[in-house]
Amino acid sequence: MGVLQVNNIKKRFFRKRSLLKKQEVWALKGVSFDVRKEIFGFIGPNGAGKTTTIKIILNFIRPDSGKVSILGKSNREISVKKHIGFLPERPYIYNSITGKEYLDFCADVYGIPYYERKKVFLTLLELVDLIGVEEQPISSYSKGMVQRLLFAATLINDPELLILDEPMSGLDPVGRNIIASAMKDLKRRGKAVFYSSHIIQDVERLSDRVAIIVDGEIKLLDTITNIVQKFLKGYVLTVRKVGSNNIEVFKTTPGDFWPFLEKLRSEGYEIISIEPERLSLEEILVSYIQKKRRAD
Amino acid sequence: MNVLPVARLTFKELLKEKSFIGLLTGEVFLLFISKLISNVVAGDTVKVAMDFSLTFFFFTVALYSIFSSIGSTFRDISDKVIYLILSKPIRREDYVLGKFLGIVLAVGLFTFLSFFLVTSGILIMSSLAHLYVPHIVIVERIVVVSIFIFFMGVFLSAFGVLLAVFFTSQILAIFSGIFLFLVGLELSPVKEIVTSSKYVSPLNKLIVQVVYYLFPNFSLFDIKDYAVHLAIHIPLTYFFLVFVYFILYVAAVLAVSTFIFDRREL
Ligand SMILES: Nc1ncnc2c1ncn2[C@@H]1O[C@H](COP(=O)(O)OP(=O)(O)O)[C@@H](O)[C@H]1O
Ligand SMILES: [Mg+2]
Repeated sequence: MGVLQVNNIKKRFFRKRSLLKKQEVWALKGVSFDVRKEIFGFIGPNGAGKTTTIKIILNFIRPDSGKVSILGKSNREISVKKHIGFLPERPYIYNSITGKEYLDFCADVYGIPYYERKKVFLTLLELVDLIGVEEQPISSYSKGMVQRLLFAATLINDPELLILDEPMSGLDPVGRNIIASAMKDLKRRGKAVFYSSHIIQDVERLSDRVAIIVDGEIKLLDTITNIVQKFLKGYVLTVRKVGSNNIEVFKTTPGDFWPFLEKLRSEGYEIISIEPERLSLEEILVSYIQKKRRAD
Repeated sequence: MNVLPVARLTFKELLKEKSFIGLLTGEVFLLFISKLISNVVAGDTVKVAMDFSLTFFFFTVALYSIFSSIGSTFRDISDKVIYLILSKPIRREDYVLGKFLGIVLAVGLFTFLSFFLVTSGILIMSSLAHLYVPHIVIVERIVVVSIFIFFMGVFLSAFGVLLAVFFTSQILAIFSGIFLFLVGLELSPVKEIVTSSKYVSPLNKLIVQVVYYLFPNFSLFDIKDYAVHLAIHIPLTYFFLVFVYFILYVAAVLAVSTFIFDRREL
């Protein structure tokens, strides 16, 4: 079931302090998680180790220890890359070539025959709303257009696992929406999507599960539903006295909830609504970051 | 094996780079310079003009090879295009080989177009000179010279790829490339001076000998005299030996590049 398995990866960098002195920095301190056929959000502040993790998954850099497997095989095996799509952080492709020339390169790699290309390219370009600019040099594209083109190109091999590093940053709301719906569509078709983000906005409604990484460590890994439940602050109760038009609002903590309900009933209130009051994912992330700051 | 897609992409990108058309334009400019020099320098004007044109040809291709190979490979790594490439089923050795092949194609086209420019220039210059009848033999010999210039360009490109994957600074890589080229051109005179000197110890002489044979020798590819002076004949074995040297050396440089690139953190 695990499409991507990351097992206790550690990675150390040496930062130059002066000419001779080097400081050892553990960018990853034993990161483990697995991604199933789902949308998996990898969230954390800048410098938390998201990109480093992704670079290790794709074998661009090697971990000091730990293992990564993709579709049951080691990530070092070249054959697994046939089933992967990857969009780097702030992606770039040569300005001088055209969008179609880049798509042609991708089609060459995956051996898509020429007679099929027109149709394949059209579908991809349509998905990211870029029809009509494919023959123009990429230098004439806006940043968002480049990102959309390169995103579309990651889908050319119909990947089983799509890995996106900060796919939403640098995009306008329309662009973000395009990518979000493409991700949901992939999941619907039984594919896995793993993406990183330091902006929480879309994560909550988009992901099935998330892992929060701070300072090279996974602090929390769970489904969105569970996380939000775990971080329940209390309930907001909207009530009124029977027969009265006067609406009143009360807040309770989870511990006080049942006694409070008892009390309301005995006092002759009827309940209009009960809403859980929860920490947003953003607040949860911030609380982890602050915890770390305090520890430093 | 996914070498060809990388080669094709590299080739397309290089042709659209400004340096391609820029250096070709420079080539035309240098032909005019050659003509001007031949007017002021004593000697057979046509031969002098030819000598300079072919020298400029040699150096322009060298410059193009260094800039395109190092520039293109380096840009891939620093601009993160490499991530787009290596996240696909393309091995690192496929990348190095494909990159090299694409550069070779670009250098080949560059040399081919330069050959046309230079040959036309030389034919025009010689037909302008009195009593000079351009002969097909000259063109034939310029073809041979151009093929050697192309080999030199390929040889340099292999080093360019190596330097680009080795250094993390592009300036350093380009300077090393130019240094390598210039030293590799002047090997024989240096060796002659050192080995015939009374003041150099035998050990140092030996070292110089060893370096002489191991260091890439770019002067082997400079056979412009063959076209300038028709009396000169170059034995076939020379062509053959230089070709073998070239193939073995390029293969070794690519193997080392792959070895380094395979271990590089990206
Ligand atoms: N090549 C490198 N050399 C030294 N330090 C690095 C290198 N790459 C990343 N780091 C450090 O590792 C940490 C994690 O970085 P990164 O994975 O890029 O974070 P994120 O993607 O979550 O913003 C940071 O502190 C960063 O400075
Ligand atoms: Mg990052």
